[in-house]
Amino acid sequence: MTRRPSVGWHVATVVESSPETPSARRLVLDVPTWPGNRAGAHLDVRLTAPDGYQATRSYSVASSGPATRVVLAVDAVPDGEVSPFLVNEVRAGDQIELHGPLGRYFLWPPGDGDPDGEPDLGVPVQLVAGGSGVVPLYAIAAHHADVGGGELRLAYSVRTPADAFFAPELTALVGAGRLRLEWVYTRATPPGWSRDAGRVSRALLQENTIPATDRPTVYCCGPTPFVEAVAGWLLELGHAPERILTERFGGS
Amino acid sequence: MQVDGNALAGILADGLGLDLTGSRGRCAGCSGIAVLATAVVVVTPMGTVARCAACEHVLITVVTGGGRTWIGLPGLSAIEVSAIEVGAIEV
Repeated sequence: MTRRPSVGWHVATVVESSPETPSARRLVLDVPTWPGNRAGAHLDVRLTAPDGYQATRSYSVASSGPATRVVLAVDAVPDGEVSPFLVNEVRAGDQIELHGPLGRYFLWPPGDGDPDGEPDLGVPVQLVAGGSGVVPLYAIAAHHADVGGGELRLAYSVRTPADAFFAPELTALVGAGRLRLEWVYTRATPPGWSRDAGRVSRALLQENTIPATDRPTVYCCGPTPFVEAVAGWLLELGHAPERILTERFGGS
Repeated sequence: MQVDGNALAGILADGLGLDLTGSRGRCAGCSGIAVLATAVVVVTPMGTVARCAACEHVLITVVTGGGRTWIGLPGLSAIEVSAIEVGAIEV
């Protein structure tokens, strides 16, 4: 992409709202003024109450490219100000306010889109996701599969199989030979799974991710404690800090 | 709610016309240099505070109200802005 999309406020119409997991919904939005977005970008959703009170929250975009259809997948944060509304109240035909596309950091291909500094698409890419943190990583995986690139792997930690976001789409990328995917189930596994339920560990990362000697770019997104633990282990495993890109959310 | 500097993109784009999340900044507290996206950010109904991930010095404060936004940069002794960033932004 040679021209950077402009950032602005947009009115989005909800085209479709469907269950993604027991606590999350996938929202397909029609945004006629959307300038397109790079894979990994996010946007802000602003809600305005009848008394004028406004609340704004950031959500990663699951789609990328020039389309004016924008896909989000939103997990309801208990006691949240914005996400319970998006998950439980919003229906097809409703309108919401968006600001974006946003973010210059957590993008693939890396860099700011400057044509003089085109990144090497052949650099291996390791994705590490916790829960709904897979949303921008799914956008990256889908775009990577479209344009072709080097090795692409994802380690995805979820509580149970039912809590996985974009499970059919990720499985399809694996089936097409575009992605190597390692599921990590922290509470309950599918029947006959080869590993007991348990959290991501340094040993698990070492066995199931691209080794530091291959110098991958690593994208890690999830709740703050998850990202901090994973980033710490990746450093211990020899990955250079400038090749570990993080996006963290939640916590208190 | 604790997030990270990625969440500053919208509010800074609105207030300054620049998405600085990919820019490196220098902390006035520890003189460390880091990409703004890696700062520790707390969002509350009162406003938003970004702290240095290394030393917890307050880098940026943002308070919105009365149709205005106040952006404080008490802990940034320098911030990187590339020419393409300035030229390409259309808000």
